[in-house]
Amino acid sequence: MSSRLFTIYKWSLFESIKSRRFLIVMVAYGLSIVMGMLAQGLGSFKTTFAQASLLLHAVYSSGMWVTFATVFGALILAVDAISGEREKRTLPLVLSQPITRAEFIMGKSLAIITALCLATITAHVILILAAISIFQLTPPPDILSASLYCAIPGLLFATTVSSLSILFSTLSRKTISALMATLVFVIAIGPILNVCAPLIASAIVGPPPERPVQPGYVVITNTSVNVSIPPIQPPESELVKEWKQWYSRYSAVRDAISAISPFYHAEQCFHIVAFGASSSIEVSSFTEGNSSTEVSIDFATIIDKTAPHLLALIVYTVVPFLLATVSFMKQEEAIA
Amino acid sequence: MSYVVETWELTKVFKKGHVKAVDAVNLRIPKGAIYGLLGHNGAGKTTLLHLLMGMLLPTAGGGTVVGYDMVKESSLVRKSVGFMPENYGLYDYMKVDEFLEYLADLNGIPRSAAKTTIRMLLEEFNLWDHHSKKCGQLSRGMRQKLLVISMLLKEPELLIMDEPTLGLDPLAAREFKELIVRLSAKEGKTIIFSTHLLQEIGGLCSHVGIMYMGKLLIQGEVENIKKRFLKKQGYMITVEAHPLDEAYKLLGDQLQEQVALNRGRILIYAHSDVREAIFDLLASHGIKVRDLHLEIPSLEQIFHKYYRGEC
Repeated sequence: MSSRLFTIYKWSLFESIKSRRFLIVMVAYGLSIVMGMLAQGLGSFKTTFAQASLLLHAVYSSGMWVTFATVFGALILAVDAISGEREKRTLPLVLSQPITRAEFIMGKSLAIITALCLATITAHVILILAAISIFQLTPPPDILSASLYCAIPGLLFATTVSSLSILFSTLSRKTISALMATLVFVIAIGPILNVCAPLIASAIVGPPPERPVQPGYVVITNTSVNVSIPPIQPPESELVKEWKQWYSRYSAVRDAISAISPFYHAEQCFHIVAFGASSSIEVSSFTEGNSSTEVSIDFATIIDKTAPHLLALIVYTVVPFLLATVSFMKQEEAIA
Repeated sequence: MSYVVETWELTKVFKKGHVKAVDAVNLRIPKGAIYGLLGHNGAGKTTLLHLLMGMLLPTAGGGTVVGYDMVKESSLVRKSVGFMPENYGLYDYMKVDEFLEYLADLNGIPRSAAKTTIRMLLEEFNLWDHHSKKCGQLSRGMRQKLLVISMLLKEPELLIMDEPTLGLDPLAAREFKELIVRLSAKEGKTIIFSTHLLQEIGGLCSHVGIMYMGKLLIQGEVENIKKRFLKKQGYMITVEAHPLDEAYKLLGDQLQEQVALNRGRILIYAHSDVREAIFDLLASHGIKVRDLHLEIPSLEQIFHKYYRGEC
């Protein structure tokens, strides 16, 4: 079994990497990096950011663009995995060789996922190198490896979209149908759910109770420093307790609805990483008043916060992959 | 008799639409035969061939292909049988030699041995000059040859081809027929092919099977099928004699069969082969017999009779 699966994997990977499509994906990644950096206007941060933070921020402020490039790459490389074979009428030829359907779809899927992961890793390395050269940074090795570690959300998102594309490709007779289904599921559902989730959550949980007056923060402002003084907490009233209970239910339902979309999890990961970097920088600026001071970024917290989303992305990779395999094994009309 | 392919009540019902694509088929294909599976589009030929290759699981029944159980040992069947699918689906972006190496790899043929065999086969089929071309650049005839090579790579005992002459020009179709004969006669391979183009298989098949609505209506050696058909449908004997009117009158009076005159020939519809009796009768009356022959039905005629339910 393993040798035949490896044969399919090897040939499919070879096919993916040497195809013009792989080049298109790499160009898309390159463009996303440039677009991301231009859109974020990172040059303006240079004077206030610490070096390591700047690097991380530079990399992950482009995250959204890289995410789009990942979706594009997955669509280009994976969406015709099976439907393309059907359209080209090559499926009967392959399935008449001594391989099983499971070996075929698994070998092919793994090859596509590997190709996309290679493209993603290359894009992240280029991103880091670009950030280093643009901002003339000399990052310590641990920060560099940590940044590479943070490529994991991008990598997992790539596997998720590939897996979903392969599932839709298996279920569709035409590649265009698989393409539309993947686009709708990955891209359209994400933003739509983000907008609809609060409304649906309100409808499910019910209207909020009367909102209690929140004890405010006292903010002292001058031209360069913002200082927040924690307020003195009064004992919680029944109203506050009730409101808090409602809010926790509401936010749980809202997040659960948003979590249906894999795009949401990728977005959250990128946000957490980029925000983690930014918040470290603010502390640095406030305490030292000097942007050139190196700060230690709290990777433990970043990893801790991204973990559930990474787990969700793993589920989104494994489940469609298994569904695609089972579905392909049972499809009788696929070749008839 | 040993059969290369033998099935028992082989049935395939597709869940989608509850279509009975193959209905209790008992296929018997002897070693060395050129077996033509005839039937209109949708008769179930392709599904039957896919079942034989273990690419589909039967709903009921079973069988053996080259000695292996087509369900339990389907992988071994696919390793030992060459299959040419309908429509010549190839990986158009692959080069010819890459494509063959890929298939050799899937069949577990060692790389060095595969390279030697590929070169030998490409030269034999006059495709070596095109070995670095992409499959998409090949003509339909060349694509067909390439698929034949892909089958021969694994040195199979049995070759199964699904509509191999579809879309070929007359020259390529003739080349294909010659190839089939060569593979069968010189290399002793058993060949099964499906077709709905009846005129193309005349004189090529040693055995045929006629499929209709998933059922195998009739199968066997071509000559036996024709004999059986004649026995069932009656014999038509044509006589050209001189003087014609006298011969017609004599045959009409003396024979207990139906006799008709048509365009200067006498047609006799008989229940048995009465050629000898006719000759003797005419000769005894001094009538010259210029031609006396039995009309042998073509496969096409037999096929259409079966199709219309007249058999």
